[in-house]
Amino acid sequence: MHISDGVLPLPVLAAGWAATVGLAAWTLRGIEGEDLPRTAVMTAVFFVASLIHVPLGPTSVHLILNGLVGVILGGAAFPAILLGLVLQAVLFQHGGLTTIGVNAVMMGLPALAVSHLFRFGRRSLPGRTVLLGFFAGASCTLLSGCLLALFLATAGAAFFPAAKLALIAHLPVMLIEGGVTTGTVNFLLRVEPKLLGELK
Amino acid sequence: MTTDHLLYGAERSSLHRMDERLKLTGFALLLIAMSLLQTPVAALAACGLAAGAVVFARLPVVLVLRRTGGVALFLSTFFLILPFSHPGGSRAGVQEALVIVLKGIAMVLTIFPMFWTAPLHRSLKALAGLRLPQRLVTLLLLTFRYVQTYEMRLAQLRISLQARGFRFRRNLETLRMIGGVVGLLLLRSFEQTERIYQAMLCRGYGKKGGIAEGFPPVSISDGCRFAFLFLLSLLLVAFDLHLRGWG
Repeated sequence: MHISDGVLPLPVLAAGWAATVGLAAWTLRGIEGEDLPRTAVMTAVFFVASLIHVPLGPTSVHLILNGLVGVILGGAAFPAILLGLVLQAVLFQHGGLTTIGVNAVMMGLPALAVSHLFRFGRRSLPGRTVLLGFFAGASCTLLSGCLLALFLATAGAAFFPAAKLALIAHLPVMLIEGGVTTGTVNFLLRVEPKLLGELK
Repeated sequence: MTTDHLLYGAERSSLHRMDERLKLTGFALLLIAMSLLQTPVAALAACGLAAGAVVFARLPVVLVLRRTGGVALFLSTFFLILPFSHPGGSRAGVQEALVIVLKGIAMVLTIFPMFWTAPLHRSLKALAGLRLPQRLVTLLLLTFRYVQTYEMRLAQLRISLQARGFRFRRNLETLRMIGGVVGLLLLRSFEQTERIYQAMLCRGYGKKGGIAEGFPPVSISDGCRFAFLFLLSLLLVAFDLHLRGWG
């Protein structure tokens, strides 16, 4: 899911950073007072949860959960994903530092879109929250996959096949993300529904 | 895994003694220079520089190689794609894949002397010293602090699930169970935030002064180290331009 250091040209990296700075500045404005520790602690949970590996065919994949981050944190999803990427790069060297901007856009923008769609869906389709959870998890992964393919394609015509392969690789991950997000939404709906729409 | 870096932040080299703000800026410039490289020889030189910095910082070579090897293996998939898709033919494709892999290795290696030569909380505070928004840096520090807590809680939950006979399988039940575990962690974190906020207020959060405080004025030796990193970045780009026939 990450784009590593060394793959993309500098103008694309710079554009990614510019978009990330803008989106982070915009979304950080809404995080005040008690929202600050709440966002941080939940970001830590998402970070740790992303270390869970789920069996897939002969291999396993780690969770992304950006759809679930959008569902739970709303607008705060973008800084949460940005922080997660920084810590992943520094602690595990996953994803790289120069690509943080591009990766944040790739995962954070779909999370913001999904957070709005989920809230709109809950208002329009009451009683379908669990189904909306699956949609949130799966569609967020698909959107991120599309953005990943788009960013890879900006590196030149030689990267088109890599972009297609990356997108195809996201299809099974989409189902896994949808399944796990459904499980979490179902759990929270029964135990603490406030969490599914409490944060701004 | 998230605590590996803690072992190497204590003073072991002159890079450990360098002001974190200048260290982060200097290595960030080096990373930008590396991302500009387009020739295999310059990318190889970047690998040499980064490896030299790792050795100079007296960081654990085996751990560094293991982490870097994973990234190199992942990037090597470009060798399977680019030779067949490059408009310039297979030779140009192999060369481009080689540049990507070497640059990727060099940049991953650079992260170690950049962040693993100081306690991580100090490097993160240095970001506030570099005028990053305090709110973002506070979030980063708090997240980093609670990652350790929830990593341990996840390990406990994993053990309790195994004790009840749960095994990871390729089915919907496994996904539902993982979803429940994530939900449980979120619930616990939600319950904890009120107390965390009160504790932050007790410790003076929101009052005058900020997290960027505590950095002494920049010394001449730190200035020299930064100038050296800046010079290396310029030389690397100039070497690459020379190889590309720009002068």
